[in-house]
Amino acid sequence: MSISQAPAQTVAGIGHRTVRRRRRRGGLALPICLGLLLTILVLLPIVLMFLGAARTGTFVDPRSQFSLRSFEAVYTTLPFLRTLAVTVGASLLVSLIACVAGIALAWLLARTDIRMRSFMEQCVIAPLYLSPFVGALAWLILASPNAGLLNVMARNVFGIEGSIVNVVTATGVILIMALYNVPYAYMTVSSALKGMDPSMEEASYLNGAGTFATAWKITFPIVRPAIISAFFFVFVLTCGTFSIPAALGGTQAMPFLAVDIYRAVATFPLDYPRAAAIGTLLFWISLLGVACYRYASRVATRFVTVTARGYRTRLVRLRGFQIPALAFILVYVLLAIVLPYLALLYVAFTSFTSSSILDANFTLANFKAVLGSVAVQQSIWNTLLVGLLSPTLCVALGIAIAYAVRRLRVSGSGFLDYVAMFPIAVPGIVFGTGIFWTYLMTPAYGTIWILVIAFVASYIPFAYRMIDTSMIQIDKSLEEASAVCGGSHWHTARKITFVLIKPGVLSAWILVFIFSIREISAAILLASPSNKVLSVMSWDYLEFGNVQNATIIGLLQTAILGLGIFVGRFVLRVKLSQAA
Amino acid sequence: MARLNVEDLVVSYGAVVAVSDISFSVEDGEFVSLLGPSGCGKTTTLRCIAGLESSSGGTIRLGDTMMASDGSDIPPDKRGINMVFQSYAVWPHMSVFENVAYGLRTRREPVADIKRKVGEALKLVGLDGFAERYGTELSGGQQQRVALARAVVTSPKLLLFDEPLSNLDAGLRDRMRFELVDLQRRLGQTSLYVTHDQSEAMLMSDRIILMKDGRIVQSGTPRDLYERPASRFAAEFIGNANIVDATVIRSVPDRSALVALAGGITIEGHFSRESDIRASGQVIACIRAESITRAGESADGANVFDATVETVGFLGPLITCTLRVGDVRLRAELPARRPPLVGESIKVRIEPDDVIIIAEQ
Repeated sequence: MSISQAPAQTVAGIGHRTVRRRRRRGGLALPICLGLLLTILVLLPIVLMFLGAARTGTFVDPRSQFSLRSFEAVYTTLPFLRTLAVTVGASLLVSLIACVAGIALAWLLARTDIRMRSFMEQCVIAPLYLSPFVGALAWLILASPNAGLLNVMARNVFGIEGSIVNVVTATGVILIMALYNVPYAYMTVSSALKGMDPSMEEASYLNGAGTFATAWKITFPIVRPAIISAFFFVFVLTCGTFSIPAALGGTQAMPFLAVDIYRAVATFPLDYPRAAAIGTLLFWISLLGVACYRYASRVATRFVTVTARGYRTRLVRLRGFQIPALAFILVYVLLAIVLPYLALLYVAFTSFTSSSILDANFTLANFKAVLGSVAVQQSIWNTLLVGLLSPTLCVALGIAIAYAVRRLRVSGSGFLDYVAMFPIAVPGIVFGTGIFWTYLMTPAYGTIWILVIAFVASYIPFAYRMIDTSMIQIDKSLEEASAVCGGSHWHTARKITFVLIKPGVLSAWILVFIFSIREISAAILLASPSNKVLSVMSWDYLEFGNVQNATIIGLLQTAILGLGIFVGRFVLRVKLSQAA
Repeated sequence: MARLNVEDLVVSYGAVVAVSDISFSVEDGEFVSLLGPSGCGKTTTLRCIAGLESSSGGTIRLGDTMMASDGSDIPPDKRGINMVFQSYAVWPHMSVFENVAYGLRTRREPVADIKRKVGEALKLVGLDGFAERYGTELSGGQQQRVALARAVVTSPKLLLFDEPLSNLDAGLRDRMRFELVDLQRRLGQTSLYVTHDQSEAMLMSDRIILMKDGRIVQSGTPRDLYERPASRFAAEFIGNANIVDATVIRSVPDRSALVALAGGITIEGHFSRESDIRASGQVIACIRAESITRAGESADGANVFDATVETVGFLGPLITCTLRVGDVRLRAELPARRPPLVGESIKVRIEPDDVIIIAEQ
């Protein structure tokens, strides 16, 4: 990044002209460096995953050779095709449910006079900041067929035999996945509703259409592209989900591609090429989903209308429906946050000797025992390290790319932009597979650094897009004003540009922090005894049947997330609802 | 029959009062403008009449029907009012035809009627042939016409306009003013128009209601407001006049008076309203730039003054210049032919009828 200082410090008049010319042509060093870095970080793992899938063993295995065996098995044999069908079908269903609930919530919170609006909105978004794996763990505790707390309670209190709810089923997995994807659908639809010109609806009212006719004929069609893009976003996210189907019983309840990848590298017989081949399959599905998502988003921007001024939207009076509407939101919050965390706290702080829920003994002994373990302390340290390093590096790279693309207009900007956004099409578990094949032969393998590399590569699109957006929003004339006041190029960047994008950078940091702390699928593929983070630790305990320790680790992880969000919101004053 | 009657309308948001206690009416077939600077409450008033905003007090009556009063508030879709929005609000997912047909369809009118009425409405606004286009494919002016056709096709009892021309560029805006007013006259449609542009209001309205800080300052025909402003605000907002402090020397009951300006100048004028007439004390004199004329060197008599030219600006047909008369600076518009030079001394005349004297508290 040293292509600048010398010419800008020449005589003022000439200096300005050089700035203009340089912006148009740009140097080559910066784009080549960034391009190479991104290619190694993002594209190489995917390429090596494809190569790995076409071998019989790992690259370091001297006996391994070229073979299409794994591809054939995964792409043509029944068990995998069935899993593929189930994964796609379940993901479509999850997207549908999440979108219906998300639309309903978005409409209620953006268009009606519902009470406690901002609080309710925070509640609806809150599950976004929690780990879906911990949520799944909690639901396992709540509603597993025999020992599930809800079932036990039904037995103890109402004397009902058998189980009333059971999440260890295909229905359970789908509903829990939908539950934790509602906020994504909600946020997309909600921002479309808020960005819509309110006079579109007012014109409909004045033409004699009532509340529901207006919602159906005007509001819904105008936000339809946003709904479609939300649908495919959730679809891609769900297809690559490992945590929930894995926690809720894996193959017994419902086969899922992501779980198959994990099984291929974690259970005997280990078959790395097969994991890679499943990874490629998942990759194609995601790519297709992202293509649909991008198409829908493009249509969505065509529908964006320019508002004349910020007049308050006329709110639909709920009157008698106030209570049912509030109840709807509260039930969602109850299912997504309150019940799960009550269950987690209950399991973490009671001893298993209690005979009934009602006379449980509360104790800190479990917590102390888990915290005393050296392995747990190590993994807390690992989590914090990854949680600080990944967002920092991600944001730094995001700033460099956004500045190169938007302000320096370097050659190859289109390529940089495309590659930086590419990982959005790659589920974490697929990236994990690729990273595994890439770094197996390097010293990074098995260390904490491999996780940092995987997370930075996975989350660069989010950091880059947020920083890019805040850079676009800076009026160019603010920077030009600095230039004509005699500020050199980097002086302007330092005093104007970077200061103005600071809020965007902080939000991006917090977002990647949240993602990194709660991430499990890539971490679990790359886990070694020395680089375990809390989510992996929790998963290990669950695999060995120690639900209580898994729960305590899950709560520790939640506490770290909570701390990060608290610092972000109240110390750094980041607006988190604008993230993601 | 649809006469709009607003009585003691109050709109407040918590402690902020947007509209305080205003009353006015719009007669059947009349075109009335609410005029005022931004934040004066004119749009809020309009939105209350449309039912898009709730009032805090007062009544709104349209014809014989109570639209809003304490405890009753008819929703906008049941009011039989239509509106043209500032942002056009042409629905992007519908064709021009569907946009215009929307209101008829919600009333479940027969298909043949819808076709005929939409066709007529599109012809009326000069958009026949555009029926199958989509809103997003049209220019701003065309979208505005779609919005207009959509609003008139339902034959509303009252048509509301919320600064419909403010998003158009200057040339188109001038043309649309004439078209709009012509259309309104032909349809005989009772209309209420909100604008902050005084020339727009002057040109189009039968009557102007001038608002400031949520209150009605003055109302009357455009000519009334121009010739007899009742306050400094009205004089400044309409026609942008020179406002000068003055002291009454003497006055007569037929409203004419002699006042003294700073620097020992006396000028003849007339009181804006009977109730303002007084024999002494502080008043303000309002002299419009266009009523100052250049007089010959030998001119003499009442209201002829020696003036020094301080600045001269060229406007095309006119020049705008700053004149110094006594201790008073006046902006004047003079013919561009043979303009005075800066620093030159000239003689000017101001007709006593054009000097409006306002007694302001």
